[in-house]
Amino acid sequence: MYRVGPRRSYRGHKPGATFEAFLDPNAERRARDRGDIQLLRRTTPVIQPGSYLLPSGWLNSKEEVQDNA
Amino acid sequence: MPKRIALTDGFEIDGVDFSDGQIRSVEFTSEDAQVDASGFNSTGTDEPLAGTRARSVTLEVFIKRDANETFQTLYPLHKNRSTFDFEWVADQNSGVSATNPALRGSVILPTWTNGATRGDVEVATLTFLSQGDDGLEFHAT
Repeated sequence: MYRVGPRRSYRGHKPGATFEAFLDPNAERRARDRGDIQLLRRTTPVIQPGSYLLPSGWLNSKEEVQDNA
Repeated sequence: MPKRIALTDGFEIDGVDFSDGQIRSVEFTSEDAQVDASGFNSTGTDEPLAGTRARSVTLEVFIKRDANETFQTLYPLHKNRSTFDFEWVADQNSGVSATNPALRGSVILPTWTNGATRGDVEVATLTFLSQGDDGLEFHAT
């Protein structure tokens, strides 16, 4: 998550706004060096256990494959 | 579409908005090399083929040396041989669409020239070259 500096919009985000994005590391470094943006925190996308559903029948098909192996 | 007077063009270079008086002209060029594949024939006509394609965009940029302004943003991109994003839209007050497409892509800035003439406003003419698979192209979204 980033905050845009006070002077100039950055990638369509107004000065002072916060935004979430995955920036190219070199582009991020240049923007931070210039003071265009400030890194607030770095987030890593994860899938929490129980926060997703498997496709219908997916578990049964996996068990069949294991049985055949 | 009606004819337009160019007044409200918008620019973003390496993510930074330069749509507030920093640029006064833009010229996009897309050119294919003409490869001569002509052979003798009864009418003597030529047969040129379209060869490699080169794309570039040339801007006249007012040199401003304040923090976050043109010199401090653009010169390091040349100095460090960076590849960076470029975008131009004809109307910065409208969203990108088929009638207001964005010229967008990765570019490099291989040449830097700027100077000054007594009594004249300081302007640099900079040519950005399209770079790689994600080079300059018009997009409707």
